[in-house]
Amino acid sequence: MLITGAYQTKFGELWDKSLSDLIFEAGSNAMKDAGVKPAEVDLVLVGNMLSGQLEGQEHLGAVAAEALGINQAAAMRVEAACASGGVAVNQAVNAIKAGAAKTALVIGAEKMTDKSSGEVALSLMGAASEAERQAGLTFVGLYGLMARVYFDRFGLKKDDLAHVAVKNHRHASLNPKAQYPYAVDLETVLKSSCVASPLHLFDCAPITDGAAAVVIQNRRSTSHDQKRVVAIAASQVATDSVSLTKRQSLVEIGATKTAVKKAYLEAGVEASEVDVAEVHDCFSIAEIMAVEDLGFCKKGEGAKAIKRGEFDFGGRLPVNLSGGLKACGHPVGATGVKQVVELALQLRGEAGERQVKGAKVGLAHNVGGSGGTAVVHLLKKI
Amino acid sequence: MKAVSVWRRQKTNYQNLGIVGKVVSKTRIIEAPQGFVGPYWVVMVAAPLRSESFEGQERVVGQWADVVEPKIGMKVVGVLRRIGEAGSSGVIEYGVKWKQL
Repeated sequence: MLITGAYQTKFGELWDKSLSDLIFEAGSNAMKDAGVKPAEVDLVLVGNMLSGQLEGQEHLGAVAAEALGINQAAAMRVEAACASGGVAVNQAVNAIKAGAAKTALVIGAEKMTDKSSGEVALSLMGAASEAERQAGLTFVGLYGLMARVYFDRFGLKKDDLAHVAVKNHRHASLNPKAQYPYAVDLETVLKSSCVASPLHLFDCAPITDGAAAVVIQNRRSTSHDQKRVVAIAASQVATDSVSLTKRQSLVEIGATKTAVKKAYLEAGVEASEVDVAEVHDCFSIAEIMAVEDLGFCKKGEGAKAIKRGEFDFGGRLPVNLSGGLKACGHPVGATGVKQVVELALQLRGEAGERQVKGAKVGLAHNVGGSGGTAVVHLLKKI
Repeated sequence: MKAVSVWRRQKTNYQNLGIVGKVVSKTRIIEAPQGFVGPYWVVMVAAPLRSESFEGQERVVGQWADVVEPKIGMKVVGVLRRIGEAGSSGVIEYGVKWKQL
């Protein structure tokens, strides 16, 4: 299973771009990158969460096919909250494995900034349980509840979270397509205002417009230059309860642990072999739990490892070189596809200033809701 | 929200009324979603509720309805409070919030 084309639009507050414009830019450039014509695409999947609520558009697969001039292919939207993009990639992989498609175009896209932050927060809570919505929780609040328990269990303080934002902004400063392509210092992060205790503004991913796309083909159907092709070695999805209250543990994302265990097994890879990773840092506490749940360090040691620079560019395992959700931006349905695009660039040696020398194995980790869905992809250089 | 939706939710809205539990986590919501006005506390409470298979303990979330700040480990009780604004249907929704025992 191969990724033969990859593209990301600029992420940010894109006043001059509609959702359809973003889909067209990402999809057409990914096909161009793959050397694939629209007529060759037989499956179009669009990872998107909120187009119905924020754009009034509920028929996004067909909208994408029309925008891209793909008239004969099956086309549909894939929704799994913030994991919509990752799940769309997974569904394309499964369709090709099953022989139902040969050339799949997967687009992740979201247009969020036309609405107020209150409207977006309410729409995002569509990924939570009814009890959580009734309580007036937001996703910052849900992760705040997890952070509070994590703090008590492992002796962390609010200030210990700040190194996640500093690291990811530093990485974003090397990525011209990031929403916030600049570094921030520790003091700025610590002084930012509280959104939902104990999480402050710089602990949170922003509201973002953007799109990303990949072309996925099987080995038999591609004649692409092998040097610019990346293999999908594993694609796994797992679920847990949507309700935070029903989780076995509040200091880990169980779905992540399940998905990554299956992914390592499928790819025949161990955590120690991963050279570069994009993880779901929707909030700083989420990245700390992710690096632990993915097996990059022991439970309870994520924050210390981040502070020591183990996951920095130049560290033992660079994490979120794109800037992550925090600084590259988080157009929710696009994020899972953007992570795969970033890894494809890294493994092709085309990541520019943030290129990891000799990267051979990349891991993408995408989460939906407060952990109801998790997707893990392992990519390998051919 | 239509009146029938509020009516249907009554079946679950009151089931934690009078239940005694303890606070296991808390967050103070500053930036509230549409329909709510921050700041307010939301607590996660562990309490012996309906399920006997969960070792007699379940967790629930709800808003804090006391003048004192919630603390981890604090004993609390579920009390009847208004939980939503009257929408276009004019029906005011009631449910359970939590306060110190």
